Amino acid sequence: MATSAFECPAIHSFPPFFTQQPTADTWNKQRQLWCELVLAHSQHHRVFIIDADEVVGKAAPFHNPAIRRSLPRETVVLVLEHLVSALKCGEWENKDRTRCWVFWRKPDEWASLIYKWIFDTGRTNTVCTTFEIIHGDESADESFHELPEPLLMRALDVLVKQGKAQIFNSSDGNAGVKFI
Amino acid sequence: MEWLEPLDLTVGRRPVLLDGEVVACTSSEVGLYLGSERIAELDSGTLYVTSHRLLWVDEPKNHAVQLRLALVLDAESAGRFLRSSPKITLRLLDPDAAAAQLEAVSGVPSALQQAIVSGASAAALRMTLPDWVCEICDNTNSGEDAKCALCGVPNSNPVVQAGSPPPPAPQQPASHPQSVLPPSSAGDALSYPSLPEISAGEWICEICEASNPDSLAKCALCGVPNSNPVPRRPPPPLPPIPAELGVPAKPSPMQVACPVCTFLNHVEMVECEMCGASLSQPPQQPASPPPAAPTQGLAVPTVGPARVSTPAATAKSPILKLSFRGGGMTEAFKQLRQALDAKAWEIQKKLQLQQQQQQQQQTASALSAVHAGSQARAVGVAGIVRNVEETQKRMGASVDDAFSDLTSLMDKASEMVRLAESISARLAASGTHSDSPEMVLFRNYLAELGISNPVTKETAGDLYAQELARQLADFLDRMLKARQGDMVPLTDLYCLFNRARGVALVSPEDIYRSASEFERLRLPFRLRKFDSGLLVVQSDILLFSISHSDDAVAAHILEALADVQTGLTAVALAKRDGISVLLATEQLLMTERSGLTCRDDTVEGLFFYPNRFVD
Repeated sequence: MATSAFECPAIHSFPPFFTQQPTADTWNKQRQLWCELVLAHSQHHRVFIIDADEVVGKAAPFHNPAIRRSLPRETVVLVLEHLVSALKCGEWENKDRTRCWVFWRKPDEWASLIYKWIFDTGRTNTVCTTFEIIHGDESADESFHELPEPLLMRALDVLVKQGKAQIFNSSDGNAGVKFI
Repeated sequence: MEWLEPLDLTVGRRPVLLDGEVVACTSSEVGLYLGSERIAELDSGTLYVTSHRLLWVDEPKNHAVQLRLALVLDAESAGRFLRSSPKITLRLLDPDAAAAQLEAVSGVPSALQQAIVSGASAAALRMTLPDWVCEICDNTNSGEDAKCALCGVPNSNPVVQAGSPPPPAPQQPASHPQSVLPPSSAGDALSYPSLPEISAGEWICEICEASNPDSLAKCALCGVPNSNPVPRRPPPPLPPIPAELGVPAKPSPMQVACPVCTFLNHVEMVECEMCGASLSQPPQQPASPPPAAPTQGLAVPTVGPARVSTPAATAKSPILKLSFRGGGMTEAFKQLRQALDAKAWEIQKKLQLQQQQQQQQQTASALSAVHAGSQARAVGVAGIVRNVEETQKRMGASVDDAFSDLTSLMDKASEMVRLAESISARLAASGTHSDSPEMVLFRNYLAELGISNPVTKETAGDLYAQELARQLADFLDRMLKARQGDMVPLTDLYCLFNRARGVALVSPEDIYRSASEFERLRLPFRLRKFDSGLLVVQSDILLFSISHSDDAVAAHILEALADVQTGLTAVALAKRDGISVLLATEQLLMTERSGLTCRDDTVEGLFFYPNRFVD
C-alpha cells in the first residue's frame, strides 16, 4: 500500500514548525498540527509504533532534510504524549515513554473492520487463530493485514466486550478466537 | 508679587534656564512671604538658586515664578526660632528702580515692565495706609499689617482706619501732609512724634532752645552754631513717648555716642569727654533709622521716585521672605550670597558688549586695512594668511590660558566649549570624505543633546533623585524626539546621558533610582521592566495603554517580517530600526507572546517568522 510518496503539508517546510513554540496558544496549534501529521504519515506508511529514540533526526515526519530541521526528542515525546493523553490516538508501550503505539485507527475501528471481514467471509461461529487473521493469505487484501499482535488483541478485546467474540488461549502462544 | 515673573518649565517640570545660567543649589518646601504676609498660592515649592535668578516651582499646583537677582538689593538670613522656620529675607529694589534695572539687565519684554510699573503704583498705595493700634495690646502696627505684630489679633476696622489718621499718631496734624516731611527726619518723627509747631524758616537752638530764623547760622542768644541745616525738631517736651511706641531709646540727635566708651557726648564735641577718643562720625548718622527695619519703613512718609537711593527709601523697599520649612537654608543662603556677589548677569552683559566691540573692531580694522593702501602687506593672499595666523595665535593663547590652572579653566569653560564646537564644525565641513555622514550626524546629535547644567548632588542636595529624574525626562524628551523612537533601554540611557553631561557623571544606581521616580513625579516617561529583566524607559503617551503601544510595535515587526523571507533575528531588527539588540529581542519576544509570530530556534540563532500555525 505504501507505494505513493506521502505528501507532507506545507507547514512541514516551515522552519518554526520544528521548534517548540514558547507561546502556549501557538504551541497548542503546533502540537495539534504535529499530531495530525504523525497520524496521517503513520497511516500512509502503515506505521504502528513510533520509537522516539529512533525517529529523532532521521525518520520522515520528524525530520525535514530539505530545510535541515528536525524536531528535538523532547518535543517528539511531547507530541506523542498529546497523541496518547488528549487525542486517545496512541498508547505508550511501557512507562519509560520511548515507544508509542499510534492508533491511526482506534481499536474499535479495527474491531469493526475485522468483524465485518469475518462476517463477510462467513467465519462467524468458527474458531480462527490470530495468526490467520493478520498473516493469513485470505486477509492479505484487508487493511488489518500485518496488524501488530498487540493491536489485534486490543481490537479483539473490544469485540469480546461487545459479546461478538470469545478468546481461547492456546499453549503455543497463538490465541484462538471464536466469532459469534 | 510684581517682582516675581512667570517662569517657563520644561517637560520634566524643571525651570528653563538662561544662557550661561548655573543652578547652584536646590531646596524643597520653601514658602514665599511678601513682607510678613504669607503668599497663599506660593506656599510650598522647590527653590532653585541659580547664578542669575531665584526660581520657585510648585510642581503639583503648576505654579512657577522667578525673581531676577538683579532686583535683589540685599539678603539676610534668620535661623530657626521656636516654631518659625529659617528664613532668608530679600530686600528688593523698589518698583521704579526694578523696572529700570530689568530694562538695563536683560531687555525684558516691555509688557513685563508695565506690569512692574503698574504694580509699583499698587505698592505705593499700600504704603500710604496709616498705622493702626491693636485693640488688645495697644501695639502700633504698620498699615500694611493685617494682624497685630505683637499679639496676632487681626485689625478689626481696617476701612475706618484707612481713611482716618491712626489713633497713636494724632500728634501728626492733618495739615502736615506726610510727604512734606523729609525722609532723613524719619527716625526723629518716630521717636518723637508729638512735636510742637515750629513755623517754617526757623530753627531752635539746641543749647538755649531759643528760636532763630533760618538766615542765622548761629544762635542769636548763645552763639552756638545751627547743627541742623534742615529744619529740625527739638527734643520733645513730653517725656514718655519713645517708651510708649516701643522703640528703644536712642541717643538724641543732639548727642553722639562715643565709639569707645559709649558715653553720649554733645554733638559739637570732637573728642569724647570721658575717654578722649575721637568722635569722627558725623552727628546725623546715629539718628537715622536702621535701613532694614520693616515696621519703621511704613511709618515713614511716602517718597517720590527721586529719593529712591536715600536710606529711608530703601528701608521701605519691598521685602520678600523665603521660608525654608524643609531645611537647607544655610546652603541656599551661601549660594545666594555668592550669586549676588558674582553678579553673573552683569558679566554676561559685559561679555556681550565686549563681543560686539570686538566685532566692530574687526570690521573697522578690516575696513582700515582695505583703506590703508600703504600697508600693502596686509592685502591679498598674504593678508589672509596673516589674518589666519593671528587668529590661530589668539586661540592658542586662550587655550594655554585656560589650561594653565583649574580656576581659569572653569571661567573660560564656555569659551572653550565654543572653540571646540567651531573646531568640530570645521572638521565636519572640511573632512567629510574621511568622516562618514553618520558620524557627523552622530556628533551633531550629541552636541544638541549636551547638558550644560548637570544636576549634581551638590546642587540638588536632598532633591537629587527628583531633580535628576526631571533632568532625565528633559533629556529623554529631546532624545526620543530626535530619534523618533519610543523606548530606550536603561543601559543605553545611562551611556547617552553621561555622554551628554560630559562631566559630573552619574552612577547607574542613580539613573535607576531617578527613572523609578518618573511615575511619582508624574513625568511623561515610565520605567518598564520586561519579563526578561530588561529595563527600558518608555514614553508615557505610549504607555497610556500598554497594549496600544505593543500593537504598534507588533505591527511594525510584522511589517519587517514581511520584508524578509528567511526569518528575522533580533540583530537584523536592531540594525533595521537602529535600536539596541536587547530592545529588539524584547520587542520580538513581546510580539511572539501575543501570538503574532513564531520562532525557529536553530544553532544559527533565533529566527522569527509570522505565525503560520494559526492560519
